[in-house]
Amino acid sequence: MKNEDITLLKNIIGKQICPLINTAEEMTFEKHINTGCVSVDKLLNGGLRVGTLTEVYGESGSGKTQLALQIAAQCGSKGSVYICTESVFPVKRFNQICDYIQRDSCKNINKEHTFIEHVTEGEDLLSCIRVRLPKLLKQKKISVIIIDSIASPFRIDVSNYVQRAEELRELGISLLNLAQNFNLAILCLNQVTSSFEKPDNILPSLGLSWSNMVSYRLLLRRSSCLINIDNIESQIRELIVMFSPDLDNKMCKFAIDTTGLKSLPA
Amino acid sequence: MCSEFKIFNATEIWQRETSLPSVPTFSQTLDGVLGNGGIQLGSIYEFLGLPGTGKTQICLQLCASVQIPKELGGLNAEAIYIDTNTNFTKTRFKEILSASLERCRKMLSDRKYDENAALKRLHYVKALGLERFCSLIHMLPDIISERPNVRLIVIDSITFPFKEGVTVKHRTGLLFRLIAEVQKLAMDKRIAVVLTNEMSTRIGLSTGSLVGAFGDAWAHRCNKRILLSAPEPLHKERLAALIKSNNSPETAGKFQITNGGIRDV
Repeated sequence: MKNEDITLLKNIIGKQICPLINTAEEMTFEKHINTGCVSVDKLLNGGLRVGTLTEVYGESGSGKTQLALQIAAQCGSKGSVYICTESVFPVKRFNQICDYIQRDSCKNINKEHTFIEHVTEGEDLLSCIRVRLPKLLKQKKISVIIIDSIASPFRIDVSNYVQRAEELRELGISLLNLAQNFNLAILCLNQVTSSFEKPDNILPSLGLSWSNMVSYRLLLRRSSCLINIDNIESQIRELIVMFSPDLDNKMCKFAIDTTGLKSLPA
Repeated sequence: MCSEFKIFNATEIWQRETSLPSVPTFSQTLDGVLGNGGIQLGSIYEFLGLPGTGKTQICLQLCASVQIPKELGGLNAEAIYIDTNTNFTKTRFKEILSASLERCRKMLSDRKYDENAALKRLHYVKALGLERFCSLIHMLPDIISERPNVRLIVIDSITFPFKEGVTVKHRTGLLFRLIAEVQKLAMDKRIAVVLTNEMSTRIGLSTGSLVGAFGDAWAHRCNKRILLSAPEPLHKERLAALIKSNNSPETAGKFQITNGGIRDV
């Protein structure tokens, strides 16, 4: 092809798919999805940001699944997708939280809008996100997609880290496209690994390629303080912003009881 | 294909180089590390770092600083923000812009600053995915012509569009062609270009070392490369090290990220 032809083609295609430019004044502010816990919403300036990936990582037992269930229950009729990769979806606990929200706010929680999926392999997760989810999203209104956890399918049998990094990048890009195209928030729960330098230091698993994909990274951990709820002593949980494009690196506290997450003052 | 070659003598080049103004970062230490008092027009700067080290914050700060009025030594110009990784938030930009306007207001007490007018001077475009990014870069000269007061182009980040859909071999060629177009635009129109890049792990000879993404060949493309790090993860202090420069020695310095933007420690 001649250079002029190539330039002409580029111009035509460029004009077609070039994205639009607005000024910052014309832009809308970011939208957030409430988590159902006041202290968490305050930390996140409203909740999970729509159109981007948020990751919560923590040791096992820190409360990640509880937080995710709270968010899914809070969404209610706004729709949520919950993808389990570790154990089966805790239906009883989910119902318990939903019942409390229903009693507390007199909202009718229609559980028909919560979609649950169970995958264990990385390829299945990728095909779920690339093929099955877009079909569902075109038909139903969904406001949040939760993956519990993103780490499990990629840590079972790692022989090739380079390939895993590539798969994680593909996964991240597919998720981000879903978030942008369908205007929803995405929450990924991640496990931890220890660092070589400081053995007490815990790091999120899946490495640097995954870390580069998320916009918001939050650490959830149990603090040493106890709180007495309904005569049961439970540990206070701390949620810390590790990195984000627009939030302070602050911390919020909450407790977990039979009704879900309970906000505590910082 | 038109190629015009003009021959300049060294004095003319030197005069041109030293006459180009810079966009400040509001941290004198960081401006010192960058050299020339900030981000100089006509050059391409690359900020690298792990997530959370302040790359996006510096970009937002520069988009606010480029608007500083001429009476205060600023450029009174506009900026284009090319977002490829959804890290731009209007809330955060407004926060930094307000703090910048407030500082200017204090120094020029007779002026009134309209925040909406200032928001209009940032042109934002979301270019997610390789196709949209390439088409945007291709249309960039036209976009700049329609907005002649733009003196800063920010691409946050240059790594994101290339994560998927292209092999490493094709990626190098494509990336270099795109940057060559941007470089031509920067030099001709005297516009400063700031790119953010991610870190990657190099495997092979020195296993496990962290390097900027895109490899060694890419390291030569930008005029200056600045490595950012956060010595203490949850604190505001950051370290900037100039690891490659076309006209100054390697230096390093500290700055901090506050609610109002980038400031000295």
